[in-house]
Amino acid sequence: MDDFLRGISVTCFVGSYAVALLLELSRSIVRVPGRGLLTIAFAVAGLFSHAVYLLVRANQHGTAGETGLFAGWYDWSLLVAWGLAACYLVLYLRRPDTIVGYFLLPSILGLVGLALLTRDWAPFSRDEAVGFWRTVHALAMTVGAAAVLMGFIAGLMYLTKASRLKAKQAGGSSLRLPTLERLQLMNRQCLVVSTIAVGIGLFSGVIMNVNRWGFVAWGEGGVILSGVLFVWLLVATGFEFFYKPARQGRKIVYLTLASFGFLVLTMIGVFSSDHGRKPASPSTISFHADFLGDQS
Amino acid sequence: MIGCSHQNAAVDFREQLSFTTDQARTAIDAFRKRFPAAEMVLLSTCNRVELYTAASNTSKTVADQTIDDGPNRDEVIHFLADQRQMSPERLLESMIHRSGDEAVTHLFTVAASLDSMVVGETQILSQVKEAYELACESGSVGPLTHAAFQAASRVAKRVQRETMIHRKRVSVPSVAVGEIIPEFFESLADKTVVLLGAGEMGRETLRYLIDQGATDVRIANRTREHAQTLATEIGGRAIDWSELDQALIDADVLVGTTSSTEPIITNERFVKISSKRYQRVLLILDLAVPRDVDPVIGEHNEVYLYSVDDLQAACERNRQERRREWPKAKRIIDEETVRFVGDLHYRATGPVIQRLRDHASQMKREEWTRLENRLKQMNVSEEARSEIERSLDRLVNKLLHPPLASLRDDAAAGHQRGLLEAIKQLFSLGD
Repeated sequence: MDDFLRGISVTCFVGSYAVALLLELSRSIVRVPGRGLLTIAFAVAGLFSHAVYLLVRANQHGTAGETGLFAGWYDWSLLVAWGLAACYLVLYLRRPDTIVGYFLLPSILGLVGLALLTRDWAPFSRDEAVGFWRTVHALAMTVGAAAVLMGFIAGLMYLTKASRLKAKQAGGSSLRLPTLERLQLMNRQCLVVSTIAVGIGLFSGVIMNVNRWGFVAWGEGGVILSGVLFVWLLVATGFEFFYKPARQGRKIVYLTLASFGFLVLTMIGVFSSDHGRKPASPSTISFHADFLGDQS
Repeated sequence: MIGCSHQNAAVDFREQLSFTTDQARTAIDAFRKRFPAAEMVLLSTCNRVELYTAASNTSKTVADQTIDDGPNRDEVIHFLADQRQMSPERLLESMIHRSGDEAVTHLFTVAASLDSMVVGETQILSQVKEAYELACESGSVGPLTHAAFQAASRVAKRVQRETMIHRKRVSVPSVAVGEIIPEFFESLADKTVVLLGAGEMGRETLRYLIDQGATDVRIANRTREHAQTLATEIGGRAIDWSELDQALIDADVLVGTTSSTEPIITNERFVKISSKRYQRVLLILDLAVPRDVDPVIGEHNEVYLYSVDDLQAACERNRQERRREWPKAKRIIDEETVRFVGDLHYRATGPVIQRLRDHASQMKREEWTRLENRLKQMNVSEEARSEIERSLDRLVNKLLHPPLASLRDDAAAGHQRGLLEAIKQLFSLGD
């Protein structure tokens, strides 16, 4: 099995995406029975082999050496391509009648092409990689937290609006909130955005730590609770995606309100640990020691 | 202006007196035959019948006419009595008469919808315009009615622009569609609306729904033909009564307007289909009395039920807001009346001023011709002669300035001091 996975190459997922693209393009030419399922199958196969390829590559990199993990144009292009492929699959599953593949699949193949072009470029060092992934981690986590918070606020507004409308207080008020439909949409969007952003944040955090320390402190409160938040958001988004009644009305609001609860827990975990704080540098420690010594 | 409205006449009297478009055209022709020199516009709606008349004396210039000219009240009453085969005494009892500034104020008030049964409704302005256009077609308008009706249209638009009097909806269907639905949905373009009933209420509601951008309106009526007729006339799609359950599953908005004595959508019926709605928000606007929808349905989580009583409260609130805007609208009308009448009076002074200036100019010219010959004989230089001529011009202007300024002031005040007539007499300017 291990050998099989190691045998997966760029050709495998490029081939899968290319077939998916051909199936998409054939829409306007011929009717192919089961084309939708075939497209999904090839997209899933592409995504899977793409992910395995990246994981195997990360595993092979190990923790030794001077070069950073996922620290070059080759890896970055492949990562972005994987992200786009995931977006394509989700969008296709939601609306199989649309032709998003016409735009997304060529872009994915283009990014893989860019990766191959930059394959021989020397990757950045571990320190440089840490800086890059730290920025991605911080930005993604900030966006994720902001989206969860926005979802919470939209949820509160929805519940306020809904209770006012139930009490027949529609119209005429100068203290007007957005429409129920708009608030519901905001809730859904915030849920999706926060899941994606926290996912990226978690992933980039792992890469950052591997580059920095050679391992990930999985037992740290901030990391555990970030993981819990991500799992919750993933479950909530999946619930919203697969369970139709959860897409509208109060249920989606309850999901975003619960997400805020998980965010608060995560923040408690982060603030109660060293996670996300600048470590005291040796010179600072020395300064403190001198200062205390003078005092005594 | 002679007329009656919902304010002072019963509906049966108004019905007797009202004119269809063809009858109005015939009446205008008859009026022109009887009063060839008069202008006339006939406004006939379900709430009012009003006859606006003014002088159109060809022997006078436009500026010499005043809004008080024209056939007198009795003549118009007799004309109307002949037209509608009613006794002049009965008309005299029930009709009001306004002349001069009051007639102008009344026209502006009517056009701005301050005198309407539903204050602020916009239909009256189009009716005023239609009446004016009909009079234009029939050739019964003249300079005064032209000016007055065009000003009325401008004033009504100013009132609409500067006050909130037209912006608050006051009918139940307009509040339902214009104020309740926008609290729930961004747009009706992608929503399914189910309309129960194809009567008058249904018709009015459908109009508002289409205006609001609804594209998928399904009209359900026990007699499908009525629904079909409505759909053809206004828009939407008629569905069979048997398709109602499926329509309820698809619906985002349900509007009840039937005259059914029993609820059409019972709770049991709704419970059966509710699982297929996947808890999608449903707004129910039950405009029917008795109700079309069981009130218990409003207790379902994602159902928002508004009945006529709930909407009446919003209508009344809007009516009160309109009433609060009334004084502001009235101030605009008073201001515009003063301006209109002032303009009219001012226009009346123009020809007199011109004649006075011509008269003075003529006298100066004659005097100058005589003097210039003498000066030439006395070998007075060209430069000195020009100076003397300019001096004469200045003298004439200085002499005319005070009376003309007083005349203008008097015109602005409505010729109260009678200076126009005095100047005509004093300087023998004729009529």
